[in-house]
Amino acid sequence: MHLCIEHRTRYSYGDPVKVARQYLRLTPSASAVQNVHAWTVTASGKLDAWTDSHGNACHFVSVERAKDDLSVTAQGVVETLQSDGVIRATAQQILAPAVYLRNSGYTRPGERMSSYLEALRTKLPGTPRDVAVLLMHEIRAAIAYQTHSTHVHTTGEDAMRDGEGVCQDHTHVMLGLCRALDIPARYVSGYLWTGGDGAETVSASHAWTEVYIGNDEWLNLDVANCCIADDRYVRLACGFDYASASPIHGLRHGGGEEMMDVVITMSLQGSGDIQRLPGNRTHQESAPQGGAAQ
Amino acid sequence: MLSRSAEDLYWMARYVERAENTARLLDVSYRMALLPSEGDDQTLLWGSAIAIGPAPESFYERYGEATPDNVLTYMALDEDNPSSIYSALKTARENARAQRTSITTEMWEALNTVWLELRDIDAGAIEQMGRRSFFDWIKERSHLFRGVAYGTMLRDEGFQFVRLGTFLERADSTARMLDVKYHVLLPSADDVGGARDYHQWGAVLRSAASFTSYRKIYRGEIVPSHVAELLILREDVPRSLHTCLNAVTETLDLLAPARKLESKRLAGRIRADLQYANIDDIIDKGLHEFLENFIERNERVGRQLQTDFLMAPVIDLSVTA
Amino acid sequence: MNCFDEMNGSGGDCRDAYRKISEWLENETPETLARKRDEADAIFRRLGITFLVYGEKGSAERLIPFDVLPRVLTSAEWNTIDTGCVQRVKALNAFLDDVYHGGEIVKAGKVPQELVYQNPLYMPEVHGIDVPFGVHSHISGIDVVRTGADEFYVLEDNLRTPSGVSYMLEGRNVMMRLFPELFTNMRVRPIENYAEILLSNLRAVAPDNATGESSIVLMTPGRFNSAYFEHVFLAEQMGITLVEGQDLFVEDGHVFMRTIAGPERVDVIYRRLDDEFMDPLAFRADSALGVPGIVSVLRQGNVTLANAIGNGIADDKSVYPYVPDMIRFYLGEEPIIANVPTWKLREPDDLAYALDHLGEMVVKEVRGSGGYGMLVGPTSTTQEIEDYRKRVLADPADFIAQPTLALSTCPTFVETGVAPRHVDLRPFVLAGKTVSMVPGAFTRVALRDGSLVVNSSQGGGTKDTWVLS
Repeated sequence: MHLCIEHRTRYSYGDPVKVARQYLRLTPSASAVQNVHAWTVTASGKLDAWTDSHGNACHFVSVERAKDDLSVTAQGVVETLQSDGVIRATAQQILAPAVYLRNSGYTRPGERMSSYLEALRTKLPGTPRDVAVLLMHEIRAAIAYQTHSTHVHTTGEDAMRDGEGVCQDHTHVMLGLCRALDIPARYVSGYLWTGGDGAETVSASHAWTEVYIGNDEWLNLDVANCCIADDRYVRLACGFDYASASPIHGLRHGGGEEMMDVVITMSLQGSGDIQRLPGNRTHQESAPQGGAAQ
Repeated sequence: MLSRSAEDLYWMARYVERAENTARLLDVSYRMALLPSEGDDQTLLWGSAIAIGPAPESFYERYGEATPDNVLTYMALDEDNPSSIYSALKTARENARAQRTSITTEMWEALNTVWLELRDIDAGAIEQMGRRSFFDWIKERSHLFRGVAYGTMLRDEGFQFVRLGTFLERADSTARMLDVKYHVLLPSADDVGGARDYHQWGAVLRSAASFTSYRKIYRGEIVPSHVAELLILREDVPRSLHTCLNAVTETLDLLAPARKLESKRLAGRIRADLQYANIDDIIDKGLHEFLENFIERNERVGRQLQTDFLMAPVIDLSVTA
Repeated sequence: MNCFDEMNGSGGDCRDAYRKISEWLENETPETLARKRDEADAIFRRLGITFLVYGEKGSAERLIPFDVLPRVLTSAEWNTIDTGCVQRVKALNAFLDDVYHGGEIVKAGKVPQELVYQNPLYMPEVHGIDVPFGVHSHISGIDVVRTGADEFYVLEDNLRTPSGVSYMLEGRNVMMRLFPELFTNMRVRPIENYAEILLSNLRAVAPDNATGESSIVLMTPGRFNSAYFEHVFLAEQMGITLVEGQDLFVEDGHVFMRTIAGPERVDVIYRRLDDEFMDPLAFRADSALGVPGIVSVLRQGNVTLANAIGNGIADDKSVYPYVPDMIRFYLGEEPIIANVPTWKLREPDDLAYALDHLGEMVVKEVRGSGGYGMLVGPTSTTQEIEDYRKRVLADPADFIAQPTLALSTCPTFVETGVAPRHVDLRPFVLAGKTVSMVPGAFTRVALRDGSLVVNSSQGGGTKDTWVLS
């Protein structure tokens, strides 16, 4: 599929922002699962392109003058490919798989996740691939998909305790459990095309998991939708958790209260079928999350 | 030179000068208050000292009435008034401390000593030493610091920023001091030329350390237009607006001879206006309006320095989502 | 404990190195020495050479006691220390460059994978960055202890922001003023070119694309940092600008410094700010001390940090036991200076042994420093040992154990006169295009009788270290 994507983020402020700095991870890279035909990123300040150690195409933005709002827009066309959901490590992906065994506050198993894993242990099959697929089904059954049930600071352990969450939380639990079993796994942020089926309420970007299955191969698993990622998925960036893969990470000086608006528009190239994902309007310290469930 | 160092030295000098000028301003009010008065004159007089300051509303919010005691406490000792003598010297010392390696030991010691002494002074202590003696002490300390700076500091860019701070602040303060007279006189313009008027203009001159200069230059009685000319236009009077702006433009030329800077243009225009102005024109069009306009333009030069010399450090960043 | 004394050896006869010192001491009265000590203190105080010492009641500025009796090393002894430390720093730099690239030593099974990649001190953000000459640790403080005439051990490596070199340099200055006659008699090798070597190394590691004369700055956390005076001192010695994070900013893929003449590009930053503060966008968002965006510049190879980010993975105490293997793996050499035998408590056998011998050992937290949080078995009470045992059992992987070493002693002027006190040695290894040391070091001395803890935060003092030619 050729998907036209536009991802607009706008921050507005009570007072003028004097200085702002951002890291953006808003540029998809070509891989076995997608080609990128055109992509541009624009922002309120000077942009500088760089690549982080996860292999993500990033930008650094510096804003030096007083501004009432800041905006970041990424747009372009991505051709998603039919695949078995497996991508191979690229030249940009330089971290050893074992590095993706590192947990963070978001993914580190506490009592709930640990005892959950203990209960599952006898059922676990042999290969990392089979283990991961089984975990995906189990986690999806244990944690109900519930929009707005959690926030950006919710950890996997929190979601496990509450039994509900969104794609970000499913992913964090999946990461923590895989890593506890010595299976490297990473957080993926991106977009999910649900065009034609407008019945579901969806907002902003999506998140899923890549699990290391050996031989330089990573399997894309979407716990929230309980499936292997296919050509409806556009891969944007990966990291250890939500924080290290998030599309925008910023600091500012001045500004007072912050309001954020995210609008993501997707359409099939040439079809005129436009899908506008209603963005969420949130206050300071919250960010786009949630996901498309089917 | 690092912009931050330049900024610290600039503010150090500005705040020392501000402390001195606040003492001068209080002094002018005390001199005027000594004159026989009637009705609301005293309130008016003390209110004017507050009115020409940077934030009169914050004074009235906290103190209510402009009594001599309130005004003294607010302008000399109030920790929450950023322009009080206390706050000004505290800030000056903080700036000096951050630049211990850019200033001389003698400068540091001069500033640190006055700060350590001032820290222990309260309203009672001022009464005991006498208000006028307190003002004199602050003025002396400021003279001492400036003398030490001129006598010991390397003539590098840092020194030029010390000069910039001193003269921009002094210009601001001389203009404000002249303006006190405007506020006090406004409702009773009928006694222009009277004994009271004479004493008030005399007080302004004395506070600007220019009484003797006036006598030498004009040799006669105190005429308001001459006082204004002396403190605005004369290039040989060290606290006049013209002298201050001469120093500012010279310093900017030394600092950035080859650069076309907006601050140089702004300061140059004020200086040119002073150079070719005529005191009668100024008085005809309104002295108060002239001073207000000058203060505003002078402030703009100060703000422009921040841009031209990158003096905009980033502090306390907060996380955006 | 039977200790080796550097003046009198194990027997009591004066060793050659100290013969002249010994003769001199016989003619000095305690009064003269006390006067010299006071003079030294006055000089240090005037120079502002103070350290902030963190204590329970906030922090206080104070002088670290300076002992006026020099520590003397012969040329042969120094040769061992010199070649041993240089060898070690070469291997540690090779290790750092390796684990932030291909990880060959991990693949070869010489260092456990999880010890590197799951170590909080391994910084994935800087993985893959090519640094000039493969040097990650440009300034390394190697802590060396001595237990006999020819027995030296490396106690630990400091590859992040090691401090103390100003004491080495200023201590020498003070000694030359106080005892010029000793210098004429003893042929002490000079160390004054330290700043010069450091500056030329910093120039050498400028990014390839730096234009014209490279711009080098020293970055300090600010005047509230415990070693601020050292930052000022070194910046002055090298004639480079002392900056804080707020003076620097990132734009167009480069770091710039705000100067009154406009932005000035910065090529090399000798930074004395900890890793996690360097880029608040990449690490600690609550820090205003660093430079947001600097990781993006590092990844583009447009600025060099000295020391590089992520060096903690090589000086972590849990990695320390593997340094001899690193020397063999990267250099194909045997270590010139040995490690102190170390029990890794993450391993069950080692743990069992250590728990049985807590009373004889020194136990350290793998990520502790400054002498805090360690147990010195022989000088601890039973209660202290039992309390520490509980901490170890709670998370054994966080600890290592070592035998209590009989640190050598040096004559030291204390209240009771001249008496032997335990010392260690921190020479500074400078790496750029080449790796070298000046013949001198920061000697720390435990001033309390019998104490083995030399840290300045724990009542230690300093001495000038003389290497004879």
